[in-house]
Amino acid sequence: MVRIGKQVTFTGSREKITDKILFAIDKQPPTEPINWSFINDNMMNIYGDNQDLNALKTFLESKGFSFTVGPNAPAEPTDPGEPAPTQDELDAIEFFKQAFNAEMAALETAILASIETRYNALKGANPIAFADVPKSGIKHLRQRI
Amino acid sequence: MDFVDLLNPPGIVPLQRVLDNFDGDSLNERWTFRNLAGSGSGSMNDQADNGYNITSGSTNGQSSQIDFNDIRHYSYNSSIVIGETRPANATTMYHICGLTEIDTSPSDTRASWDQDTVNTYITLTTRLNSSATVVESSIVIDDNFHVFKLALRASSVIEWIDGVLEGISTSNLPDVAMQPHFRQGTRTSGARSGRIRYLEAFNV
Repeated sequence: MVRIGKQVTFTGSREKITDKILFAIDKQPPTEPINWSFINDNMMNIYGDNQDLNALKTFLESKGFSFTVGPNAPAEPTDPGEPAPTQDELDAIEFFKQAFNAEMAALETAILASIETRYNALKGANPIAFADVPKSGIKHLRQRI
Repeated sequence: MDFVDLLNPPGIVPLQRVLDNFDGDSLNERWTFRNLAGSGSGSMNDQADNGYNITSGSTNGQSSQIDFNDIRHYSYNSSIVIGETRPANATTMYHICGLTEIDTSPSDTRASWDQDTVNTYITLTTRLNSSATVVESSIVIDDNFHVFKLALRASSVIEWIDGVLEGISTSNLPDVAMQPHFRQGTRTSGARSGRIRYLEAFNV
């Protein structure tokens, strides 16, 4: 089996030649899949096994279609797949993640220290009003943050 | 009258037919938006005739999608899907629409029209698990809306673009029921947008 791609000049419409090729494939399954696309209304790129394409040509010509094999078709395209992030991109994402977490931790510490300072100042200024506020309230606040 | 009426003889009753014009101020509830990778976004486009917009995350390989949340009505060997989509900018991106089996993996079994800037031309892709067949059309990838139609048959998937028969795949054909999907992804870098303004699918 030799898979090849050929440019073919044909007669008849895109629909008619397609129906005929599908009929031929259904009647005699090829050894390799045959796929094709149209360059214009009378030229196509067709890909398949060399012998299968010869048999197809014979079949189509016996049904009155002209099927003239020309030069090689462009290489059969392959699925590029969806890209995965590169290692550099993954490294960059990890770097920003760590930097963000570090900044957030520093911010949390600063906010809690500021609240504690203010709490102590208020308590100092008004010890009676704050007598019932437990120091553990700060801990609760820290947990909630 | 819409596409199905124009494309089929009288008397054909499409089954599980769905049709969406992507109009109004929100996406129809039948669709689920999801980020396959990264943090993209999706919203109705505030622009004439531009339907729904998906913008992918800005890193290589990040993509977002709308689909039927794994509700798969459509036959792998006797269904039709028609859509009108476009990339907002045909640069370093990929843009996939059609029918798919699952909605969370890039290696999904599917039949779709693809605009992937790795290629020059719009392609038809049939994928069965990790194996794919790609058939190149004669239409160069651009940022215009095109009308696509795929006919999924027992031994082939046939693609029309703007009403012209473009390509036929007879290999790596899907073998399970599928759901519609529209995916927009980033290649290399930069958030990339894609629009969809019509989708119709039905079994025959």
